[in-house]
Amino acid sequence: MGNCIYLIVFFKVCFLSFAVQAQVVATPQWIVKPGESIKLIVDAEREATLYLSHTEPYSINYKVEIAENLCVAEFKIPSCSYRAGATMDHLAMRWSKHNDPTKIGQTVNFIQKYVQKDGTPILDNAGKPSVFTKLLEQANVVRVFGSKFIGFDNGVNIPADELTCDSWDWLGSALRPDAGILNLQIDTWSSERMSSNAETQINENQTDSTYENVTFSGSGTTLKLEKFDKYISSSANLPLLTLGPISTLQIGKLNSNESCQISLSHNFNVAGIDFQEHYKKSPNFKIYTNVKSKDYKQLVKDFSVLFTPDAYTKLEFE
Amino acid sequence: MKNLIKKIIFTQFIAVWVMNFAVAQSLTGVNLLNKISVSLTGVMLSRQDQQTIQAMTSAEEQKKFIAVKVEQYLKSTEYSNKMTFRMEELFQFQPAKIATYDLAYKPTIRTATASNYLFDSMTTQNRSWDDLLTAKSYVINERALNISKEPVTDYGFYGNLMSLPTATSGYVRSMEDIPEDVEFTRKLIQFPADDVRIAGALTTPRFFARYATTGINKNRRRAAAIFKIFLCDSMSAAIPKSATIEDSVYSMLYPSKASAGITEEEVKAVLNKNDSIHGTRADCRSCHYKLDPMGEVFKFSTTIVASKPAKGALAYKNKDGQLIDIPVNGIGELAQAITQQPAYLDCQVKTFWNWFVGQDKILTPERLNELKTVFNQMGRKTNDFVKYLVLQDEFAQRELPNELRDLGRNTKQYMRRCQSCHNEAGDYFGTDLTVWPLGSKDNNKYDTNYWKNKIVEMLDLDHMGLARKMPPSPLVGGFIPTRQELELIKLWIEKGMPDETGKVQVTK
Repeated sequence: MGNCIYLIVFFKVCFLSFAVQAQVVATPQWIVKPGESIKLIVDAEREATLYLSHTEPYSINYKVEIAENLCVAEFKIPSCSYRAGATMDHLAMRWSKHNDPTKIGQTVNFIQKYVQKDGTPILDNAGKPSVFTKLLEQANVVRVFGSKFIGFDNGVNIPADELTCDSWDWLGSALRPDAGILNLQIDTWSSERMSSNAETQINENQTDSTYENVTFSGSGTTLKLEKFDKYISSSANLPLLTLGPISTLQIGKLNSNESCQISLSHNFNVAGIDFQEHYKKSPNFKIYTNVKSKDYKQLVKDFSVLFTPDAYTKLEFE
Repeated sequence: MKNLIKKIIFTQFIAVWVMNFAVAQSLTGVNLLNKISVSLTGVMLSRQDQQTIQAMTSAEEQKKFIAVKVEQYLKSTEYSNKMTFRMEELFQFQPAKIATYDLAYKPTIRTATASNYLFDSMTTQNRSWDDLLTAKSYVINERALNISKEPVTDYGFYGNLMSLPTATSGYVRSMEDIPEDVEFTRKLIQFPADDVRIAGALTTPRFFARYATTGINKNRRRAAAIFKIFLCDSMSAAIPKSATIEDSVYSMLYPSKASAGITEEEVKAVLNKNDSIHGTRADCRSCHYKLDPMGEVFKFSTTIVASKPAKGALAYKNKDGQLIDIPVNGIGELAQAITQQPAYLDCQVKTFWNWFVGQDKILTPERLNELKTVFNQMGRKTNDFVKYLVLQDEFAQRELPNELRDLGRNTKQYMRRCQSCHNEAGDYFGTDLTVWPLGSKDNNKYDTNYWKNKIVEMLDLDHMGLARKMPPSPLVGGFIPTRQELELIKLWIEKGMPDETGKVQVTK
């Protein structure tokens, strides 16, 4: 088996190396028409149809601790938790027309082979053509939707994120009461995780995504995420506010242009297991006909990993 | 017969004398032009040019031809590429031309980004070298796909500050806006001259990606890179007195040291115990008084440049020991302030000197001052200064081997590495190891002989480093000297600690 190279949160899309018999296609064509199913014409004899499954919305809960507080010098250590709303889509291209009748209804296996500039296959260690394809479980692509505010709306009503603490001492004057409502305005909420440095290729902790002008409000012990103005990420595929194990908040000081920093740590281990349980649930696949322009764009983007025009690879289907 | 013997002896004496005392020869004609060609373009002199200059009989004619060729080289693509490569190396970016994987994309992607267009324009437009810090315009590009291990796209990076089509990474306005057919669209973008958020190469996706930050690092890594590149102030993680858990915290401040074996959780545990270790340790303060205020200007700008600027300061001690503390309102103001510093001018002239004349050639303080004047008179224009340097006598000088001089230079180079940690560290009471004769910087409180014995003891040169106390372990920010390096220092001491000219410092 090959190396994992492409992660969408907790599920894996891996390179595989195994011998396959597949037919080569020059340029597959997407057929997208309003009210009709989305099809992929592979060649004159083969055609695939898009199936989609929405997972019901659910929440990921995890404990949050104050890792560093440069806003308030002394505070009662709180017991906090964060609840992130999420949902996911499973997408699968299934053969609807194939010269091998046993293939009908099966998920398409996308295969990309490494080739030399002249088209000669690059051989692997075992002397076979070097091949990678997506790991076929039940879907070709799984999309995760982390917050309804991020703009990746899949039509499912995702619950708003919530921050719950038994004490708000640690926020000091940053938590501003207004007519019985507690308001928290955060200049930037940055999330970091271990990932490869784009320049050095060395794995290191680094800030991966930032949300500008994040607003929470509520009362008592719970604040709800109301909105944020901007979503900034090195990868648009990871839309979760608390993406990695550390979040760093820059909070503006009242009546001042200055800000101070609070770092939160959150344990994703339990949440991760919870998340995977949702991932493993059998999708309820249906033919997708409700075509909107953004669906097509997202679809092309999701599958683009496989359709990358590249002088060094050759695309095949099985 | 007697006279003949006398002549032979005299000739041999002269030959030996020349061998011993001639330290350099001056290149002329084809040899000089070839050196210029390789230095500017990275390629040897063409056969045709070689024949042309060889056919010239007068030195004056050759000189004119060389001047014409220099002009041609400065306009060539090869020169721009070579200079871009030098700038990538200066910033410690992965060189675009030698990417080792994803060959179909990487060279194109990396060369077609805002930082590389800026690097390229430094030579193609003969821009002021200050523009590397202060430029407010960029040529940006969008690449076709968001391939993993790539920094955010130019469009995503600057889209947060101005209206640009939505990109696939960086500031993602809405998936709805992502164009169906993403093309490689080059576009010139211009920020106002007084935009305090923008600062040349510092506010580019590659700089942000190379010097990524974390909550605990607080952009100190970016600040350290700026000090190193633009003020020639290399800082290393502080040298701790012992390898305790607290000491490991320092290496965590530099993400590249994260392999030290301590987790962020452990760091946080330590920080919670002692809120500000850095405030209490002199060896930390010696760098953090510089890094922390500079890091502040990147406070909101973690992944890309934030919409609102953050305040900070350029703080450091100049070479006279005076504290420079200039408050700034953003990265742009910081960059502007740096270009006004004498230390910046010193540093950049030295960088050019090292690139073209060579690090092995001594740049005396007097010569440095001359070059700084010339650099300023030229409006700090990149190509003009390069041209000036390659037509100087020092460039044409080819030094002949000299054991003592080379020994001194190689040792000085090694000592610079030592000094990068010792520099200003509060728990270090030693002398500056790069100022020779050793001890002279402290008015010879302890003489060179004392420091010689100290080096022998600390490196345990009598036993080839078996029980050495310095350098410290890599786990705490130090490094392990190789056997060859220890042999170099030992030989240097045995030969009387010669300086970079070959003059011995210790005779007993």
